[in-house]
Amino acid sequence: MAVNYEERSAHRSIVERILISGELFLLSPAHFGGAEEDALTDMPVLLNEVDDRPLLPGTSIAGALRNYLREFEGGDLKPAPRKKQNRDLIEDERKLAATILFGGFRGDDDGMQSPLIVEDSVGNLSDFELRDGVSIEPSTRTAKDDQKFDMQLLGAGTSFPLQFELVIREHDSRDELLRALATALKGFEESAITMGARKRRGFGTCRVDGWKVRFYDLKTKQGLLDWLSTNRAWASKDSAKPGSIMEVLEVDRLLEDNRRRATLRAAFGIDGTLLIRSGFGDLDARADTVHLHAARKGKPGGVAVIPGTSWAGILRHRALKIARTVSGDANSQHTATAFVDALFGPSEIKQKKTFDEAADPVKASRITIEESEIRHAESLEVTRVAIDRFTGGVFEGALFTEQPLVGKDDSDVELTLTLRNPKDAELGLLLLLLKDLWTGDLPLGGESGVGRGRLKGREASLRVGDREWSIREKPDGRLQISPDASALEEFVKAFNAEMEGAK
Amino acid sequence: MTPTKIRITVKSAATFGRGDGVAGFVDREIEHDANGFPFLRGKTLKGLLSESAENVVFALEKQSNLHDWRAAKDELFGKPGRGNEERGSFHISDAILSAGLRSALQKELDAGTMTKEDILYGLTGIRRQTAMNEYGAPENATLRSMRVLLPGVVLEAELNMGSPTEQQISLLVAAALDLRRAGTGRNRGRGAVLVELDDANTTQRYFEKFAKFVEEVEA
Repeated sequence: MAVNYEERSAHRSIVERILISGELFLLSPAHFGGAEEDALTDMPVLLNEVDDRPLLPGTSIAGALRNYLREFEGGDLKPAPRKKQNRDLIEDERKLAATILFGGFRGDDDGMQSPLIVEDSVGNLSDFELRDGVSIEPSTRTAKDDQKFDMQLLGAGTSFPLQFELVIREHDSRDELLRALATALKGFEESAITMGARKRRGFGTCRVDGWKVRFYDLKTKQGLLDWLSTNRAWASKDSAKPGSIMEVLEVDRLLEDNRRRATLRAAFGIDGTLLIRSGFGDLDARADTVHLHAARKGKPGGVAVIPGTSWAGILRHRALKIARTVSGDANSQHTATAFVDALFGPSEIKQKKTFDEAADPVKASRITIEESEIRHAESLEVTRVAIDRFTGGVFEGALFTEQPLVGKDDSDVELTLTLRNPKDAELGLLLLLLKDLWTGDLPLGGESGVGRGRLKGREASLRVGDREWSIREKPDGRLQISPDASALEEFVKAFNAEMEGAK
Repeated sequence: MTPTKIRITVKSAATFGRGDGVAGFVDREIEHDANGFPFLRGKTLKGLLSESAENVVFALEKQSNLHDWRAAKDELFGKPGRGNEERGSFHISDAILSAGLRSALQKELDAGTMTKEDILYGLTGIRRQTAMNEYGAPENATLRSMRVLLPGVVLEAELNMGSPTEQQISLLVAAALDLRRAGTGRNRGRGAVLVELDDANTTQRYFEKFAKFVEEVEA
C-alpha cells in the first residue's frame, strides 16, 4: 500500500470509522508500571488515579501491537532506521504495514499520523500479587548483595476492556488497513503478544476474545448519524455480534508471517522436592518458607508455579558454564560470555562512555520463557534444625519449618521456551541445557544443596521453522528421538565448533 | 434559544499541554493559571471544533443534500487565512473549571488552607512512559513524564455565536459530537472527552434538528 508522503491535504478526508472492542484477560501475572516507587513495594503497578483500578495505557497497547506486527511482517529483530541519511531503510520502513497502521516511526519527521486510535483501558482487578526478585551470584549460587527487590503484579484473571477506532480516509486502501489490523489483533487472540515488564519471562501473557466491530460509513446519512450519536444516552443499542477478529473485521487472509523461531517444549516430573521461595502470602500462619504460588482466577490459594525468571536464571548460569568450559582458555572467555549475552540479553545494562545507540543498541533477551504451572504435586511441611558442630546438639534459634512441593508419580511441569532468529550453535546450547535439566543435573530453585529442585525428563519437542523433533524416554531408560537424532547432533557440533573456534 | 456554553467532560487522562516542563520533575506540563486551575485554551478548542466541523461537512458533501454546509461552516468558523471581513461569527473563551468549583477553591486559597500546588496536584497526576527499541529493550533517553488532567474533570467554555441560523447551531452540535479527543497523545488513549452544548438535553435536541436537516434531501 503506497502512502504519498509528498502530498498532504489540510484535512484528513475521513470516509469511514470502525470501532473495535474486545476483552483482554491476563493468563499470567502482569506488571504495567509507570508509578513511583513507594514505601510498600519497589515496583508498584500503574493505577487509575481516580478509582485505583489497574490501568493499561493506550501507548502500551499500541506499542505491543506495533512491535508484534512489525516482527510478524518484517521478521524478528529487523533493524529500525535511526539516522536520517539512511534513505533506503527509511523507505523500507515506511512501506511496512506496521508504519502505515501505527503512523510514522521514531526519528521520521515526515511520518504520518496513525489511522488507528487506541484507548486507555481501566481494568477489573482479579487480585494483586507480590513477587520477590533476586539476582544470584553465579560462583556461590547465593543471593547477591543489594540485588533483592519486589514487584507488584496484577494477578491472572484481571481483565481489561479494549477499544480501538480505525479511521479510513478517502484514498486509503481499506482492505490493506483491515488486513494489517486483523493480523495485529490476531496476535492478541492467539496469546502471541505479551505485555508489560518481563514479558519475555512469563509475565503479561494474555488473550483477547469477544471481538465486536461496528462500521460507520460516513458517506451515508445513517452512518454519519450513528457515528455522531455513539456513546450518548440516545444512541441506538449496540447490536454487533462477538466473534473472531477475522470474522468481525471481514478479512479473508492475514499478512504473511516472516518470523523465524524455534520452540522448545519439555515436560518433566519432579524428582524429590522443589522449593522456590515466595516472600509473601500468609506466612505467619504457615511455614517460614513456602513454595511460590501464583493467583489464578477460580483457584483459591493459587497454583504452584515456576516463574520464567527462575527458569531463565538457572539456564543462563548453566549456559555460561557450558560455553566457558567448551571454549577453554581464559582468552576466549569473552566470546563465551558474548554468545550467552546475545541469547539471554545482557546481564546488566551499563551506560557506555561513548554512547552510540545506533552502532550498539541495547538488546533484550531473544529467549522467551513462560511461567510454568506445576500439576499434581503436594505441599509438605518439613521442620529442620541446624546442628551445632561443636557440641553436636541443636543450634539455638535455628529451628525452622518450610513447605516445599513434593513430586508424585504424576507430577508434571512443562518448560516452554521460544528463541527468535535461532542459529544452529544456539540450538546446540539449548539441547545441552535440556540434557542437564532432563537428567536432574541442573536443579531449580532453592536448597539445591540439600537435594531439592531436581527434575526428570519425560518428553520434549523442538520445533525449528517447519521441522520438528520429539524426544521421549523409552521403558529401558534410553532416549527415542524422532525423526532423527543426527540433525540435533549437528546443532551441538555447531555449538562446539563456534566455541572451540574462539580458542 | 442559542446555546451559550461548551461543556467538556474529561473521560481519560488528558494533557492539554503548555509546551514547557518543570526541570527535573515533569517534561510536559499542562496549561494552568496562576491559581493552579487547569484550562484548555479557547484557540485550541476552536481549532478542534473547526476540524470536527470539517469532518462533518466533508461527510455531508458526499451525500446529496440541499443544504450548503460548507457555507454554514465558513460563516461560523471563518475561512482560514482570511482577513477580518471573512472571519467567523463563532467566539469561544478558554475552557475552565465550572464557576461553582472555582469559587469554592478560591475560598480555600484566600483562607490559606490550600495552595496553588495543592489544587493542581489534586486535579492532576503524573504519567511516565518510555520507548522500546526493536530489540525489546528500553531506548536510551526516552523516559518522559507528563502531567495529566484526571478523568472526571469538567471544563466549561463560554460561547458566543452572534445570531446563528438553526443550521449553524446544528452543524456546531455535530462538530461537538464528532469531537472525541483533545490534547497530546490523543490517538493513544489520552484526552478522551465528551463534548456538549450547554448540557445533555440541549445537545440531544440540536442533534435531532441536525438529523432532520440531513434527512432533507434533494428530490
